[in-house]
Amino acid sequence: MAPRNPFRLDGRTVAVIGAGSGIGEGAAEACARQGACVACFDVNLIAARATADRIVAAGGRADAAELDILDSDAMTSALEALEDLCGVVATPGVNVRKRLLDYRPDEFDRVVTLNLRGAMCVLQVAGRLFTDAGGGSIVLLSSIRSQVTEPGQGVYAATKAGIVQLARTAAAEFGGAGVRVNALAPGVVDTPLTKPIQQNEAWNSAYAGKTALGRWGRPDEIGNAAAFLVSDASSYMTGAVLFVDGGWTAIDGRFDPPA
Amino acid sequence: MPACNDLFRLDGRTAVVTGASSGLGIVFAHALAAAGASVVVSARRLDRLEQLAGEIEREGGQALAVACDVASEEDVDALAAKTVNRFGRVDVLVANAGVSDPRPAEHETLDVWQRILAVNLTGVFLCNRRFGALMLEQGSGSIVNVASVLGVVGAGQIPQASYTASKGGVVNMTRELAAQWARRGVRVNAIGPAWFESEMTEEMFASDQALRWIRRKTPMGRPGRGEELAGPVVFLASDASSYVTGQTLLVDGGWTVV
Repeated sequence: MAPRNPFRLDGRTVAVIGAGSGIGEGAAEACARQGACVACFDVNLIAARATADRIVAAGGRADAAELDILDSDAMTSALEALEDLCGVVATPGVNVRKRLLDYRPDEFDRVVTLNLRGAMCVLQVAGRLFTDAGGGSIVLLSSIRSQVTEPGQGVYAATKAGIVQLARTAAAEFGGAGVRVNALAPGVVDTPLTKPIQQNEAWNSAYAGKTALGRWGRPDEIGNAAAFLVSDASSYMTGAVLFVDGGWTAIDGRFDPPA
Repeated sequence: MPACNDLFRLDGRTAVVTGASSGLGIVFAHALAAAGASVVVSARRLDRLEQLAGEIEREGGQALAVACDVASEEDVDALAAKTVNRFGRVDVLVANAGVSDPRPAEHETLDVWQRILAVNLTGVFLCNRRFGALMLEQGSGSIVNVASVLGVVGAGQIPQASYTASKGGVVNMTRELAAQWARRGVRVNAIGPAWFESEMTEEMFASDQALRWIRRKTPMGRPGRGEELAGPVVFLASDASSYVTGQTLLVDGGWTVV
C-alpha cells in the first residue's frame, strides 16, 4: 500500500472563518482541494455561501454559515456542531492606514478589536474544543507587518505582531494536549482589501518591486500554506510563523507610500 | 519544469538529496519519491546509497546513487553532471548533508571547527551554487537547505559553537540566495528542525537525561519523528509554496517559542 499523503485532508472538516473573500476564500478552496469538508464562515453570509457554492461546483464539499469572529458563544456553537473538525483557519482583519499622530481612539479600537480580540476569540473557542478533543490545528493570520512596518501601518502592525505572540503562547499552552497553533504571515496579496492600492499604479508597482519575486501574491498561494499548516504534513510545527511573502522579509529596503 | 496538477506533488521532477545515506536524508529521499520525483541520492558512503536507491526503485520510483563529498568542489560538479546526464534536469535540491561534534567551545579545536564549517556551510554553498546555476539556466527550481533551530538559538547544554555558527550561516545565506535568484525563477528556503532521532543524535537519544530535557523543554512534549520533516521539505520543494522564498521553516514542536 502506498504511504498516506500527509497533505491530504480527506474525511476531515476544516473551519475557515473569513471564508467569504480574499485569503479566507483562498484557504477554504485550498483545504477543499486537499479533500477536506470546509465549513465556510463569514460575517457576510452571502459571500460565505458563494465560496461554498464554488467549492461544491468544483466537486468539493463545503457548507456556509454566518459568524461574527467576535461572538465567542456563536463560534462555540458553530464549531461544536461540526464533525471530524481537525483545523480552524481565521483570517478576518481590518486596517486603517493612518499616521500615528492622526489616529483617532475609535479607529484604534476598531483595528485592535477585530484583529487582536478576534484572534483571541478563536484561540479560546478552538483552543478549548481542541484541547478537550486531544488534537487539532489552529492557523491565525499575521502579516509581514508583524516584522516590518511603514508610515501609516503602526496600529495594524502592532496587532499583527500581537497575533504572533498570542499564537506562540497558545502553542506553548496547548502543545501538551496535541494542539498546534501557527501563524501565517502573508506579504502583499491581491484581495478585495488591497484593490485600492493596486489601482494606484505607483504604489502597486512599488510593492511588487519590494518583494524578491517581483510580484504580488495570490490568495491561493496563501491558501495552500494554510492547508499545509492544517494538515499532518506539518505535525511537528507549532508556534511557527510562516511568511508567504515572495521574499519581502528576506531582503532589506524601504518604500514610503503616499500619505 | 514539468507542471503538476496537485500543487503539493512533484511528478516528473528531479530532486537531489545530499547526506542521503543516513537518518533524515533517507526520509527526504523516500518522501520526494513518494511525491512523484525522480531522486538522486548522494553521500560519501556509496553502499548505503545503492541500497536506498534500490528500495526507492522497488517502490516504483526512479533513483540514482552518486557518491559525493559536499565539501569538495569536484565532487559537487560531478554530482551535478551525473544528475543531468541521467535525468536531463534538476528541479529540487535538498541540501541536507551535515555533521556535528559537540564539545565546549574552550576545548573546540580549529580542526573540529573547520571540519564542521566545511561540510555544513561550505558544502551547502557549493551545492546551492552548482545546482542553483543549473536551475537559473532552466529558469525554475526550488532549493531546500537543512538548517536547524540551532541556526536561530544557541544550544548551550549540547555545546557546539561550530555547528550553531554553520547553521546560522545557512539561515542567512538562504535569504541572500533567495534575494539574488528570486526573479529568475529559483526559490531558496530552509527548514530548521529541533531534535529528531538520527545518527547524528544517536548518543543523545540513548540518554534518559537528554530525552527528559527535550520532553520538558518542548511544548509538544516530545522529540520529532523523522517523517515529520518530510511534509515541510515537500511543501517547500513543490509549487504549493510558490510565494515562499528566503524563509527558514522552524519544525521544532515549539522549541523556539518558550
